Amino acid sequence: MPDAILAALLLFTEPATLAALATGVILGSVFSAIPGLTSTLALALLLPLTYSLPASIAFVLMIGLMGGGLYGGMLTAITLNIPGAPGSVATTFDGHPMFRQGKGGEAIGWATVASIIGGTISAIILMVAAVQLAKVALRFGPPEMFALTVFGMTAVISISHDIAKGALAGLFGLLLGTIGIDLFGNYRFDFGVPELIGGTPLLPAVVGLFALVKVFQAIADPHADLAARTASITAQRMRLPSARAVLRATPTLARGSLIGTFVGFLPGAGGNIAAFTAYNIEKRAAREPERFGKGAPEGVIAAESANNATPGGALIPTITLGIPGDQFTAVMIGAFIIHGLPIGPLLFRDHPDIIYVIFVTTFLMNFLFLPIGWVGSMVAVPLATMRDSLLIPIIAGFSLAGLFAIAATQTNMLIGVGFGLVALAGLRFGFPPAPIVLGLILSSLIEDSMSQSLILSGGDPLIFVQRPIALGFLLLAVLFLLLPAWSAVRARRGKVLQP
Amino acid sequence: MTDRIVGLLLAVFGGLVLLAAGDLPPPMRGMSVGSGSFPTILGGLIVVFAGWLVLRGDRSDAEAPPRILSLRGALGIGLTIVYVLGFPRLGLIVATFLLLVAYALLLQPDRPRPVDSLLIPALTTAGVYGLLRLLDVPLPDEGLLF
Repeated sequence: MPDAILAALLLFTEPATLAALATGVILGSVFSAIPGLTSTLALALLLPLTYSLPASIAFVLMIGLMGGGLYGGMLTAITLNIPGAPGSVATTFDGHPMFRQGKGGEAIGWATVASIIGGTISAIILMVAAVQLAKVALRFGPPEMFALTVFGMTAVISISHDIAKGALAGLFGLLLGTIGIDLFGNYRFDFGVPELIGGTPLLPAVVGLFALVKVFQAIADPHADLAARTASITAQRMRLPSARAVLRATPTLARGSLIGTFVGFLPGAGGNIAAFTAYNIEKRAAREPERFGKGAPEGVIAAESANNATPGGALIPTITLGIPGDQFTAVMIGAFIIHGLPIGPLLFRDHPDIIYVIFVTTFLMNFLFLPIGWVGSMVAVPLATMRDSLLIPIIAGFSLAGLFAIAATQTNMLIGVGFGLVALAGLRFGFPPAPIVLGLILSSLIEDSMSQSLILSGGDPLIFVQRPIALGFLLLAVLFLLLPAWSAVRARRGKVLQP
Repeated sequence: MTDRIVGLLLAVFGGLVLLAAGDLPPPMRGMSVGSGSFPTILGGLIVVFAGWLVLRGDRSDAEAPPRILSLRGALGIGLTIVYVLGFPRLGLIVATFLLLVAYALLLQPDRPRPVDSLLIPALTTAGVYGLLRLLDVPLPDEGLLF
């Protein structure tokens, strides 16, 4: 194994490999920073090109895209409160308040350090324990998957300011996720629109809920000035935390990285559920949980370390079992086929060189986040601090273009506008947008795993509590929902008792 | 009061979801779940949480809502819908430029600046066109201009 790692490392002394890595990470970051575009889209566009490259260089490029795609979304999440990618939604909770307080540089610095550490830890776990972890993933049957996804849903609901409204927003997202053809082959709630047969598309939802709503809100009240122009631009550029601060944040970084790796290797669960779960756990573990949502660096650290730890995890079932851990790895399986490579145990036996190139790339790509974060902050910060009449047309132009680029049709643009209106109504009546996004992502996972479990058990719902892992996640879900309610009751009693 | 009304509307919505779920095909023979099972659970939960809102009413610590309704805002939304529906006829470059100019003017109620109203929309349109060309996205070809 050390020889194989050394051989893979030596590959990175060649300019072509380094160029592929840099191109992948930069392209991934840029695509994920523009609302509407994703690194999966970049991969789909580059996939035919990788055919002409040697397999090792093609995989360096693709893994770089994957890493950059998870990292770059934080730039717009922090500066504009618009998550460039679904995995960066949780970063907006504290990242953007930090930016508005003039601590944007600090937030970008923390997000970068957390991404590097999260990515590195997950890469080490991938190298050391890929096969063993794949066996654990296989023990996740439908009841465990159901319990995990329900837990993920409660994680985002319980951090809502108002639990009832957070739950209703989440349920609305889950309901939208039921649109289209279902597990049993029936069409549901598609209103005869052919484009909806495949389900509610996720990207238009994210763009509408976070970007177009800003456009509509700014136009409705031009004097509100949504841009954070008060803070000085220089102070907002990336500022790395001190070594002592990083040491103090070690528990948060470790928790986020482990949660990200763990959630990443479960098929179907991605960076968003990892980031929400890590954020929630960090908030519950904090001495002053009330700081969260108001600019607590720990919120950014937890979300970003978990989000960027998912590639290592997502690659585990992909390369060991041939089961994609997320959307990106699903497309990447196509690259294995294009290059005539087997997936699963045969890949380990016949092409260990490719395996170690993947391992080493997941490790090395993290260190490119430093220059990208630095350059990215120089572009994103001045952009975010412009007045609304300059900034809003830019957001609108690129958001609408991104929606058109998904499938070259107007349907996604109309869906995006529809979600923008939903978010506008949500703003007026206090419903948060994040649970809608997670509901949309998790809906089919929750429904499919619930249906499969009940079919397995002959309709007996006790299957969800008879298996220890499933029971554990369901208990955690109940605990996460009850804790905020209990804190609220305690706070109310405290107020009553005060003279 | 607002939360009670919103809760009531959402409870009605949840009821409609339950009705619609009941119309979906029943479970296949020998199966306990079908197409309507999950939407039924969701509809039921929407009714429960909406009922909680109705019973609870407005929270005392609720923040003041931002202003989202105005004639200007409605015009912005209307123009966006017209743009989405109409840009294949007018062409991407012209339609995008006109929409962004309109946005910029709506965002400057007092004294419009030429840089904001013309230069940024022009540069953004060029950027959008360049991005779509770079991604090789097929643009509508029946547009009047570009």
